[in-house]
Amino acid sequence: MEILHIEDLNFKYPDNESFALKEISFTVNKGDFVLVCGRSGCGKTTLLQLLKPEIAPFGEMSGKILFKSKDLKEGSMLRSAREIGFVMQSPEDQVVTDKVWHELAFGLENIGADAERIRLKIAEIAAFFGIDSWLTENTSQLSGGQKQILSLASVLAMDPELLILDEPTAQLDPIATENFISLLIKINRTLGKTIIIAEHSLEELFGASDKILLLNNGMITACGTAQEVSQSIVKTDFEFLLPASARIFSQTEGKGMIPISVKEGRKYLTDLNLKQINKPSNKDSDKAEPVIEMKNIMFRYGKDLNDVLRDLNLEIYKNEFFCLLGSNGTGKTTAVNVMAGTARPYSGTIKILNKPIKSYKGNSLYNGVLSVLPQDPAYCFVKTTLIDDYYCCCKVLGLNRHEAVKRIEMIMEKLKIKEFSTRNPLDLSGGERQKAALGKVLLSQPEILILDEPTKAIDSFAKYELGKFLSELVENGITIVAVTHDVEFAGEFASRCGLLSDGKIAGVGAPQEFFCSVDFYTTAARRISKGIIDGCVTCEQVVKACKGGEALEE
Amino acid sequence: MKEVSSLKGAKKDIVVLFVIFIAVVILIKGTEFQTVDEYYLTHIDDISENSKTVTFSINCEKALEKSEFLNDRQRKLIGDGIILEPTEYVLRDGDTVFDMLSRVTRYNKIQMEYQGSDQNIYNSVYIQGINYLYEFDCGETAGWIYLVNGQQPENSCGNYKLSDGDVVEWVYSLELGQDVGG
Amino acid sequence: MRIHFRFYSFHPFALVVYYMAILFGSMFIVNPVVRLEALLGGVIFLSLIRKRRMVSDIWFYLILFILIWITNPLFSHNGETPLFFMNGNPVTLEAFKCGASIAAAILASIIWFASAAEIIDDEKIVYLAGRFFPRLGLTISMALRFVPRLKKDFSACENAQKTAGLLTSDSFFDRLKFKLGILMSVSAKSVESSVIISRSMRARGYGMKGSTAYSRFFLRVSDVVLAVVSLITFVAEIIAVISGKVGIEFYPSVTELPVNFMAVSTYILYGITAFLPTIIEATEYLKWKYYISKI
Repeated sequence: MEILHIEDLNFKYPDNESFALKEISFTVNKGDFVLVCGRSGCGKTTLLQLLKPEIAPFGEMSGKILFKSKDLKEGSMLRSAREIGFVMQSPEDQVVTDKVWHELAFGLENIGADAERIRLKIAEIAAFFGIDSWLTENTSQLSGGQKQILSLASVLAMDPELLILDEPTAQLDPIATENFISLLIKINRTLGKTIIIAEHSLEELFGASDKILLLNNGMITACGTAQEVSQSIVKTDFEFLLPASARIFSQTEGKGMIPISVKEGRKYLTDLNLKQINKPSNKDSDKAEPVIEMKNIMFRYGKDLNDVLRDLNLEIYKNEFFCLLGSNGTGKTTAVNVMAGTARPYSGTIKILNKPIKSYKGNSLYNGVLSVLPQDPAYCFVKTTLIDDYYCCCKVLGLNRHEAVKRIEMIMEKLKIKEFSTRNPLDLSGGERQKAALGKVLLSQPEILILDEPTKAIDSFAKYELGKFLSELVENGITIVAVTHDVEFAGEFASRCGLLSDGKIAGVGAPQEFFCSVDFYTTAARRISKGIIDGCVTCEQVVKACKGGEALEE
Repeated sequence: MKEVSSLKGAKKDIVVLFVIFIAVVILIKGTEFQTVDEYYLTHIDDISENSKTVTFSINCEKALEKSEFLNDRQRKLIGDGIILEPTEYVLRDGDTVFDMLSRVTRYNKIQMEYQGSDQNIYNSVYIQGINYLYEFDCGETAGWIYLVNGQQPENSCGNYKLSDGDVVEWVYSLELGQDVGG
Repeated sequence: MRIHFRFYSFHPFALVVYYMAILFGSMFIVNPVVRLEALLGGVIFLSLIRKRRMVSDIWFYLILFILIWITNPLFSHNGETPLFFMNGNPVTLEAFKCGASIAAAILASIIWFASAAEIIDDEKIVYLAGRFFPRLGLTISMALRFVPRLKKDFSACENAQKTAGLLTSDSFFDRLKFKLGILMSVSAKSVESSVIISRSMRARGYGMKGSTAYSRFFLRVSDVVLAVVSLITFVAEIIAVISGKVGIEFYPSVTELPVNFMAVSTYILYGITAFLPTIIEATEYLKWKYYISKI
């Protein structure tokens, strides 16, 4: 049965020449799990928002959107509020009230449910989501993953028939993402709710969807089941969207059904009947001089609170790309703050370039020695245009006008952000804003660059670009420390990885040995290839190994 | 949970501010201490032939009209309303009404409380209460005023200089002085 | 913590009536018996809530008491029994007694307010506000959500700016400029997030007619009992204040402690009310001891 029918939908934002959405037609059946994917700015968010009249953007719209065979615009507000649920990207911004139970009750209050019904609904939802134990907590104390689950739960409390989610896991760590997605699948499978979700981490979702919609420049490029869409985009520009199994399949010139899940991928690799050869070599990076030395760092936020960092020992060597991994709440950001001198440990020593961090006075540490890209790049900016902001920064760094112009020119050239120079940094999209922020922290020409969750909230394409750019920086002699929960990113680009857990380093090593020594907290390519081809961490390595294997077989 | 050890943060600030406040008050008001006996030990000149004199009286009969406002003790202390019968006192050169009042009340051990000229915005001495009868005790418009020769002077008692033979009356008025004297 | 207190779990309305009765009595009935009851009841209950924290606070309360106490004689010179004279004005025994009474009233109010702040928490405030002005309730709730967020944003932004080298000197004005920059950045970001918040609210049907206000509170018999007891005390206090038969006067000399019917019944009623939370916690404690011994 059709629940949503979209026919020839066109949409144009005011003051904009081109159409944001063009000739969109598709249908969604009751109980379907629909995945909408595409690069940032492809029109995903616009499409989803148009499906929810309360938050539909203003602009010129033509075409039909029928919800349960009635035009969406003609339905009452109550109907839309109750029957279409919408979950947004930012965990911070969509939680409205201060208490968890109040958040759950919020939607029900708005549609005028009585106290008895609300009480029952809260009880039911809390049990379903397992949030009973934090029902009376303050929402500000929840983690990002908990906040997203709360948002989902509070929407579901209104018992909508259609659930729309706009990149709900973009700002979550992989474990929290997996939790969230498995919850969604559970909701779809056991409650029969229709779900439409836009996402850019597709590894998990691709196989679970009934229908996948690939958007490009506001048009539908591919539409169908996972298998159909995979078949149609394999060997195209959009291949990077596919899960690791499918990418390996494509690059090894596989034939037939495309493997989607890790399980299918493993089967595919096993069926190739490879001998374990051409194992990628473990090139031992020669230990250069350390640029950051942390010894027995102890840190806590208050006298009566627990230690966040406990006996943290870490050395970062010159000219390496170090990724500090760990799930949320293990003290990663605190470790960054300690390294950058913005948080002071109560015990232990830190040396930057062989000098104790305390010996750097004023802003001498931040002028040419060390720079930090914060988790939220928006915090970097103080002026209303990017170029003003850069000039302001140069002035503080003590550059004269001539030097400043030269340096800004150079950095903007490198990052290809010249076109944004007169725009307000806060109006840029996630990926653009991050580049602009990266440019700003590079103005001081640091020897060490520390990045806090650089891949949060950017799509896989932008992620790849960022990785390439950072690798270039490393080649040019900069040392990079990235704190991240993105194992794929670390596996692909890092020269050394460390796992932070319980406030200390639990393991450290080059990505290959590191990711091969762990079983769960590892990349999809490793999970696919484990036991079949050992020592591979990225898809490329798997492909290379396969090809090498075939070559030898011949 | 935070404030395990002694005084901290805002609470400490409150205490410190309070101590500073009291210290400042004491500094401004000065610290001239007297025992009760010292205070009442006042010399009143004997009247001789050529000494200048004024006649002084303190009267709160009006308060009796509204005695329901007063408590038992106050009523008892007021009695018939005459606190000081008209009496002749020696006037020293330059004496103001306030100087005389101060001396006379001390001499007769009559309680009197005033606000010094440094304590109000008018820069003038103001008599708040005599014999435990205070301004406002009998309503919002009640208070002590003084008359010289039956007239109510414009200026404060601390500025009014007396001359020989003046008749000074301190009266408790119920209506800002409208109900007494001329 | 405080959640384990029986008194904490009373209905907000009952608690508001209770605290009104207590605070009105301690402030407006000028009578040493009532003030002593208020002070003792308040101190005991607050120590029950705060336990070790109260030990350090005792010093604060004691110092505050003494300071208020000695301030009164500095300003009030009325009274029949002068102890000595200061700058020509008497410092009297009555003023000291009156000062003690005022200090007791202020201290009792502070202590009861402190316990009210622990007992009537954010959730109860949001509920009370929401009952009378539904929009206000939500606004307070959102503000309570917003403030910790803003703090977090501010420190994150401060770190970001610091590591970008923007804090150059120790000069006060440079620091001020620096903080202003952060404030600008943070507020720009909150404008951005407020757009999303309003979207999230609209998506969940905010702004429709006929919305309800849900709360986790419901009225039990014990709530009604507490409210009624408090209300009776409150009425008795008002009668006591209006009749003037319960209060004492300090000037010119301290009047005798009234022991008429009205006064005595006020003492008893106020005493019960002031020690009620302590009694409730004590019975609860004994009950638990009994249950555990049964187990």
